[in-house]
Amino acid sequence: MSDSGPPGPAPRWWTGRGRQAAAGTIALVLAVSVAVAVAASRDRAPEGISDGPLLTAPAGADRVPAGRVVTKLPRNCGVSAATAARLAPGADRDAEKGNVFRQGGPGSCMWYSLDDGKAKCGFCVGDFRNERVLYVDITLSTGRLQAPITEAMQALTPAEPNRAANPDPPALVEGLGEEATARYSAEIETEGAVVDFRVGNAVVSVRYKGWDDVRGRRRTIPEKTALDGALAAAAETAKSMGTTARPVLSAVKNPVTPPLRTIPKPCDTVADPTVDKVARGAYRRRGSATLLTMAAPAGMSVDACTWNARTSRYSGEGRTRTLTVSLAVAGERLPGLGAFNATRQFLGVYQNQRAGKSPGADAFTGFTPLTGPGERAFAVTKVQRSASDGDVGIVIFQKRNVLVEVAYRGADEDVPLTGKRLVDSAYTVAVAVERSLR
Amino acid sequence: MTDSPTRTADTTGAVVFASIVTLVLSIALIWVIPTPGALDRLPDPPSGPDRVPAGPVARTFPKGCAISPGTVERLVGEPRMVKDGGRGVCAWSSRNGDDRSGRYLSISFELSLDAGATAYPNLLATGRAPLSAAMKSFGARWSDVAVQGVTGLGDEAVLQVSPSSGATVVTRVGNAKVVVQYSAGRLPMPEAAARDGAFTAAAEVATGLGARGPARPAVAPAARPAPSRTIPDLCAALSERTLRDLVGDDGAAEGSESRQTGLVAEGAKQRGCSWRTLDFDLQVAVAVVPGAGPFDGTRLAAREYAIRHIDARAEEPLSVRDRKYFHPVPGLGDEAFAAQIPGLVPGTVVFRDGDVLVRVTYEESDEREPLSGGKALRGAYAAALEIARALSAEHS
Repeated sequence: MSDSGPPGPAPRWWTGRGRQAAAGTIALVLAVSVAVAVAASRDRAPEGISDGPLLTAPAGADRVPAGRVVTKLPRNCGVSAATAARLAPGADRDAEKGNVFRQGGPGSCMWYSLDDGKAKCGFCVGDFRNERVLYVDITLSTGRLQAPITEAMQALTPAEPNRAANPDPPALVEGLGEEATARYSAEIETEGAVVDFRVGNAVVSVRYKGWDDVRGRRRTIPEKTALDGALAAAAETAKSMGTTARPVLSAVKNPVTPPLRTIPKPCDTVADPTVDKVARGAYRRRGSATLLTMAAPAGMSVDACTWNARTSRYSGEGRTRTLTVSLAVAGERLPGLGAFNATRQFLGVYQNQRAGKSPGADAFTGFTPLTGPGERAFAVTKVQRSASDGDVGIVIFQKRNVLVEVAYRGADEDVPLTGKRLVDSAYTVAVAVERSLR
Repeated sequence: MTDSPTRTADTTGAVVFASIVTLVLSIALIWVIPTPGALDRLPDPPSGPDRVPAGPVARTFPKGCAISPGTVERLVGEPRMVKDGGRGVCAWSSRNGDDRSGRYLSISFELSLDAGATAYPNLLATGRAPLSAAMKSFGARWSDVAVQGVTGLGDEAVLQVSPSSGATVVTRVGNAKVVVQYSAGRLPMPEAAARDGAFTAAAEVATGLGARGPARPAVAPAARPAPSRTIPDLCAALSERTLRDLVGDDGAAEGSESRQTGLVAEGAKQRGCSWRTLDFDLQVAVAVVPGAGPFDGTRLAAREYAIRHIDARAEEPLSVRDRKYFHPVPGLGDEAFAAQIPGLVPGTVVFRDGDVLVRVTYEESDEREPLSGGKALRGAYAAALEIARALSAEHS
């Protein structure tokens, strides 16, 4: 060990202001070096593709009632002889045996009255004072591809391209079956009042129309007369089927649940730290829903975001993770209607999955009701169709007027991910999505 | 006076230290500040005013089908409502008309509404916005009767007259397609009477829907056939320097030519060329739009351009954090736009030159390393400029 001896005088540039300048320069160099190091580390590709931690999807009790499945049709479509006689005087008492125009039959009833029932001809010619016709049709959904109740829901409101564009949409009816609407028209083709309602898997359509001769011209019966008549007959049909039968027109859908005020874009529903748990380093694209495909034809607006993470630029190589968040939002045409329609669509998908049915070619397994997130939720796994496709873990939940579907799949090299991990990944993301909806 | 040795040593030390610091700082700055690349040196596409209509957009069918009872009474005579418009169709027939005087008038609406974003996961599908969807669905679809163009009615209109079905006018106002049919009960109707009646009803409906300008429908003169243009060799249309700037040395050698571009429907003369390297993907598609029915190729190319313009303008970014680029580009063909939306629309320049439609897209090859919107647009614009020059040279 050598002794360097007593320190000599420091160089002048290292003293006083010189030392301060040097110290400042060194600090600057260090700061720049740190910045360079940080910048360099940022340029590096993120390691790993998915590392959790994941939440465990909490299974819960199945609280959705099985729903009524009607198998037997009420005689005379449930309409009493007194009501039929009041609405269509002189018509055949037994609508199911047929009458002057056509054969009737179970679930397809018609009462026809011409000239207060005094005319008894098939194709009458002449001057008459009035005409009244009451039709009741009951259709039972059997559920070939879907659950019977889901099928009946779709039959009640079939998808039509411009359904939402009707400036006079059907009025809401409450107290009649599980859901009901009414409308009136003076046009020739559908004149009169039509009341449509659903009881479980049964869809009922009641139409009441007629005209009165006024100074040689046929005047269609007034709206109130037509609606009161159709609602009276509908109430009896509903009662005969053992369901609610006190119909009233309503301007709101009770209970009125307000719609969500904040609904982000699907790509903005999940914060980066959550995405990093299941698909770190992913790039985003527009996605498409797996099970919420029924929502768009039903008038809900649907949008989806997909996060793709992969370790190789070539498909079928390396590790991949794909996360898709789909939102279906029901509009609030009338107070409470948005949440009601979202609930209805959720239950339609729920009942299909519970019954093990699907309208498409996809197969699903592992249906599990969940305790959350949102007001009602379930998990299911879409089964791969070929070795190259991976299973898809799916969590669907409802929050007020919004339905959310989170789908997750992945593969390590050519081995697709399977099992509970997929559902837990989807659930982990679903919890984050629920928090973004307010 | 000379410096002492100590002072000289101090000065030398300070100089050495300052040199080292300067060197380190220079290296650090070179490391941190990116070198301007070729794409940074290219010009941005200029921005101009947007002249493509953005409306009107109807959400519901108009009450009473936007026609007055007086007009219905005048055209039909003692009308009886056959359809009330609830499902987008109004129809009236004469209540007591005989075979000679009975008339029938129907007005039907088809609204193109927001289709829902997931209906178009493929970003280049056209007809995504209400207006462009209505434009795509517009058109007469009869094969046995000549269709005539109509001026002064809505955004576009056509007419068909036949002895059996009377006069049918199809017009579009924004996102609403309207079909007006006016005919006699049973016997044929004079052509002029049928046409004028249908024009009267259609003009009132178009005005009620908010059409721009007064409605003065008239049959348009027939389109004159124009000489067909040829498309130059697109793979040879870009300069070596541009290709080097856009796709690097790898792709500068040669592009891959294709005869089907997907730019317009089959039947149009079209050529495409693509250059794809490990880092970049550049694609050029050119189509000569042929005339059809009463319209010439230039008119139909303008429609095709407008559909793409409207789609790109209406497209929303995936996230509120994403930046959307869209603006019309002056000085490129007859009309042009540039667009880029992260994750949805690559750097895209579309322009029309007469009856020729051109689309240039430029993006990264590896989605994991996205190209910034500005760079993508500069690249697409640089290629588009050279394609425009090649088209002009071919045409002159």
